[in-house]
Parts: sequence; C-alpha cells; structure tokens
Amino acid sequence: MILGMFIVTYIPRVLPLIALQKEIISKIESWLKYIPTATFSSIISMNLLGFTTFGQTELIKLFTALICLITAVKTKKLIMTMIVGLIVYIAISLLIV
Amino acid sequence: MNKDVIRGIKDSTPIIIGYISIAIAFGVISTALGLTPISTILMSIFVYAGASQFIAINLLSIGASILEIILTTFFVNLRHLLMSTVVSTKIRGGDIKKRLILAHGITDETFAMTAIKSEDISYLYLISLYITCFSSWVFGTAIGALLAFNLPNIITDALSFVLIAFFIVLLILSIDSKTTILVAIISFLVTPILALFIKEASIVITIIIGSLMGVCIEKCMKTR
Repeated sequence: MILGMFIVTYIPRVLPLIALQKEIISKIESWLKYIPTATFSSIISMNLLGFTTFGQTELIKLFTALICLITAVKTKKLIMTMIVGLIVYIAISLLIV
Repeated sequence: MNKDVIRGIKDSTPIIIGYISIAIAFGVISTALGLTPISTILMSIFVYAGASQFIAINLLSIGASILEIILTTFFVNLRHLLMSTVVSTKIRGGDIKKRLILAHGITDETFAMTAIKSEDISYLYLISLYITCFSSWVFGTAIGALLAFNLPNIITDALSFVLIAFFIVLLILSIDSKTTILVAIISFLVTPILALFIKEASIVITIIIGSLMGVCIEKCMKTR
C-alpha cells in the first residue's frame, strides 16, 4: 500500500519538472481545483454517514463533528480544531458512560 | 556555507513548526490505530503528503480497500501537477537527476514559500528548503509513533475521531467560493447514497462526480 501511495504521489510532483507541457496543465486546472473539496467532503460523509448501524457512538461523532465544524469556520486553525474535537469527544464519552 | 543554502534553511522554519506538530499527531494516531511504528515512519518517508497519509489510516480503520486508498491518494495529490509546473518555470539550474530528487519535496507549504518569490530560485535554495522540511516531517512522525505506545482505549477511540476533525479543517480551508460550497454539499450527500450500492469505490466515484460538477457549475455561472 505504501509503495502504491508513493508512486501516485510522486507522479504529479515529478512530471511537470521533467516533461509535461504547461498548456496541458492549464487545460485541466479548473477541474483540479475542485478535487480537494470533493475529497474531504466525501471522506467526512463516509465517516459520519457511511455506517450500517446507528447508535450512541454515531451520535457522539455527529455532535462532535458539528462542534469541530463551527471551530474550523471560526478559527481556521488545524491543531486547535483537532484538540477541541479530542476534548469534546472524550468529555461526552465519559459523561455518557 | 552557500548563501542560498542558508536562505533555504531560514525560510523553512515557519513550515517546520507546523510540520513537526502535525507529524507528531500523525505518528500518534497511526500507531494507535494499529499500524506499526515502522510502517508509520515509512509512510512519512515515501508518501510525504499529510492529507493523504491521514486519509490512508482513516480509510484503513473504516475498512476501505487498498485500491481505493491508492486511487484517493492519486486524486488528492493531482493538485501537485499545478505546483510542480510553477516550480519548473522558476527554477534555475538542476539537471534531470537533481530534479527527480527535488520533485519529492514539493508540498502545499514548500510550494507556498517559493510561490511568493518573484525572482528565479536556485536548485541549492530549493533542495535545502525541501530537505529541512522533509526531515522535520519524518522526525515528528517518529516521535509521535513512539509516544503512542500503550494508550488507553478511550484515548485511541477519540484519536480516531480527531482524524475527522482534521478533514473538517481541510474542507473549510478548501472552500473559497460559492461553487466550492456546492461541490462540498453535493459530495457530502452523494457519498452515503453511493455507499449503499458500491461501498468499495464510493469515495473515488464521488471525487470524480463532485469535481466535475464543480467545473459545470462554474461554466453555468459564467454564461449567465
């Protein structure tokens, strides 16, 4: 898996440096810029809604994700949002159990 | 020491601070989710792409296939085509062999550092910038992987949730227009529907549908 990931991350990094024409790249530019948004949204959705059972854990995840979303929109800070998510998640888990 | 080398190392300091903290988080979570410290560190050396590495360990933990992980990685990192193209027009010197090494060092952050420079940049400057950033990423991962030894269950559960928090921030940072908001909403809704039918490929198919919808929406808005 790591080797496969290495190959697919290395190709887009190396091609323009040694060969690829600028014209080809500029043609797909408008497509490329939407890929990150689609990817992250899809992965978040898969984690939050892609389960087969629905119980307490899923509810805690959804609620904490909402708090993280608000934190992310307000602060736009990576580590800060991760720490907020960690604390809220542990706090709720402890309260319920 | 060469002037360019010193400038490269100096410019890497703001990036290094961010890299070490995120790499520690990656090392901790990856090991807590069951990857060995060695695999975790190898991933940082060979893949060296923050978002993709977090995606890989997250998808592994929710049972995605290796092929889907690799394809998702491919799409996420296609954006480096643009960055690498800009770097290739600015770089002064460096033959093919040197460029083959240089390519591995291109990331969002090192690119941003070189993109704000108006003048041409030398190979020596780039390679010293890239090597210091790369080392800090691998170093941080190693620290995290060792820290994660024997964590209690509730912490590892919470750490796997932290991945979702990580993706939420990246999603928010990627949103810069009405079109991107629509792409985010469409992708969010399409994924669980696709997952009902083709669980193994729902993320990859959503990426293709969502990004192409973005292009269409952008064209529609222009013509109106």
